[in-house]
Amino acid sequence: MKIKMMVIFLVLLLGIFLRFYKLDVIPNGIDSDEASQGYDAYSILKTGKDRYGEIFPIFLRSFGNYQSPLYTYLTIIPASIFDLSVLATRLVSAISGIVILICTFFLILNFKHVKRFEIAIITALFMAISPWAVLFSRTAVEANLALALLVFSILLLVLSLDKHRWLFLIGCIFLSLSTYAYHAERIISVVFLGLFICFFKKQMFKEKKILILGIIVFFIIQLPQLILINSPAYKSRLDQVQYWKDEYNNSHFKNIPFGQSLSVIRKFSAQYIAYFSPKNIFFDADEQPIRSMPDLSVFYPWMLIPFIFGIRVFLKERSNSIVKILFLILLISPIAAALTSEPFYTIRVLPLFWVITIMISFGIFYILEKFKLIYLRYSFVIILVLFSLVLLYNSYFILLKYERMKSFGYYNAVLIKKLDEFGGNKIIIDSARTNLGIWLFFVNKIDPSKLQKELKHYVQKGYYSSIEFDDKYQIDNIEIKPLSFSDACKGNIIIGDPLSISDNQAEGHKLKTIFEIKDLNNTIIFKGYSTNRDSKC
Amino acid sequence: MVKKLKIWVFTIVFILFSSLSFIIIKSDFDKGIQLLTPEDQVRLNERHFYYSQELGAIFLNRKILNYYKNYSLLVYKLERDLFSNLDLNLYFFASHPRERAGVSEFEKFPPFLFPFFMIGTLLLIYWGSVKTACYLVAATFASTFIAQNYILGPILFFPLISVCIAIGIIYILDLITVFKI
Repeated sequence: MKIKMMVIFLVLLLGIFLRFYKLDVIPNGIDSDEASQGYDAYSILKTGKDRYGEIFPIFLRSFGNYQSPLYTYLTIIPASIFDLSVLATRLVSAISGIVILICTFFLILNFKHVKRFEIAIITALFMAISPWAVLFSRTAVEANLALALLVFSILLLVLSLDKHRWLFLIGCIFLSLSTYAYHAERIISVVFLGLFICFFKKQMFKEKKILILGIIVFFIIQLPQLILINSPAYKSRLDQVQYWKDEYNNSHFKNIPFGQSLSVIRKFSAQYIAYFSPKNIFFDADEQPIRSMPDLSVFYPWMLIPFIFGIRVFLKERSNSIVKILFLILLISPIAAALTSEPFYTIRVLPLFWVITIMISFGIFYILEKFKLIYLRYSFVIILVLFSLVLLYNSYFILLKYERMKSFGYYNAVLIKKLDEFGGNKIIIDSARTNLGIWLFFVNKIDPSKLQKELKHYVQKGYYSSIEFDDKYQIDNIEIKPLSFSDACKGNIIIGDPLSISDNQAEGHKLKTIFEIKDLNNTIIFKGYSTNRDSKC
Repeated sequence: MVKKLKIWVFTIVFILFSSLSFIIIKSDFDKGIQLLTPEDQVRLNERHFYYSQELGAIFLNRKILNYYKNYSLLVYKLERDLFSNLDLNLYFFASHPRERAGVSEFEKFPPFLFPFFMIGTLLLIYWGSVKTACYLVAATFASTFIAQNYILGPILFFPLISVCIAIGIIYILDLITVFKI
């Protein structure tokens, strides 16, 4: 027993270390979505309103994409302890990563197998070191919180099948709450609950009262979202990412009967299958730099082999209730992502990766069983873990730290800090390619009540109807907007990236370079100029 | 008699597979594996700096430096080529939604056969077919050396995919017969 506890403790310690070690500096910087979540949490903490002045919104307007609000609300707690900071913003996601780890361990512990402890500990171990689990636990990702809630509710639903039927009720509460954490869970949770009841109707119908109560509670929690179901806020995200309108115009299905439907079916199938393609999940990472790490996809390449064995184990154990549930999640989770146009958008399918990790762990256990000598089994696991940690350290803790600095807005934050040196001057920052507004609010901890007054006009049409997003800000002496030639006369300091102002333009408008912000390879990221008002205007 | 037939089938498959592998590797060998492009060189130099900053003496060790300069990129490219063969979308959806640059993609198998392929694949995994596994490993290994922009793609996989589709169709037909759907 003591040894078992020690093993659990060590695995948990490894999971905690990988999720919390230098959490505030790796990834280096903070990306715009993270900064938005963090600042809105700070704003709600200080004023009870988000940065646009809405009291406890059901969806956060953010950049006009109406983010799910739960992550921001939970970030209020770390923000009240650590103030507005990178650490406070990422803490909820890191804790969610640990919750996923613990819940997965207890879920597999309920697996009806003689060696269920061994399987559960292997699953927890590989969940702790899986690239996707580490990556998304270390950035402020709402999808990770949604997964934690989903996994916790699955654990409760599984426990409710055997004896504690009342846990179904609590499971429904957390399942419903997960829809407030991330968009994709709005589809996954509802479909999963419906299919769960169908699959286990025998057990469920034994306690009809609890079943009905659970469903009612689930829908009561959904009410605030359902009230807004016809609002642009509810539909905006899907409208932004859908493909069924534009795809048809360019497709070769145009001139055949039911062409549009066939085109959409083909596109959906291709998108859906891309999430199961070994190339994508074991090698070719998500194309977006903030959702992937260099040279490593969501799983280690070697995991392909145990994955195949894992499928075999799952097929053999298909009558087991936990395996049935995992199969269900496996098939449901890519649906929401497949409805969107981005290829292999990892954040939208975290439940899928969670199931695949369990499959891989089952596969590893299956391989381990083939070793007759115990010490060979231990050596095999230790070698796999060490090899994986080397790959992870290389990709995440070295390469990502340097190569993704720009994507994570490191230089944007550096620029905002630099502006302090020019306190008395009027500063104009070009917003044509990078909008620095959110970094300005986050890094300078702009007073939320002051900002709410400045941004109020953006939501004049109504908070949940103002989907148009225009990034122009005027905070004290700093103005953020697309540059124009007339700014050379108006402002004291003009800032932009190398494409904002060419050397010829700078010379023509008598601009004088006063600072440059360069990356590690000496490439200029931002350039600051002082204008020569007297000679030009 | 059956044993003899099995040996014959194995011999024919082996000869066909070997000759096809030889022809493809000879005609479409990925020369880029050994080639150091300017982008590769820039990346190697940049990463040299990152590694030396983070790992110090561990990285600046003679053996590790030798591996880094001469083999790390080669391993990466081989790994890339190996996994590019294991893309389901390449065979059924003309690589959509992650099309390969510089390749005029086409579907090697009609998309409607994909469900049968999946059923067949799952059945083969469930049965634990060693012969199929051996073929898969051999085809993956041989295809690793083929250039990514080879228009037909990894053709050594085509027989295996056809077998999976056939098994899937037979399984469904059996189900229809058994349940008299």
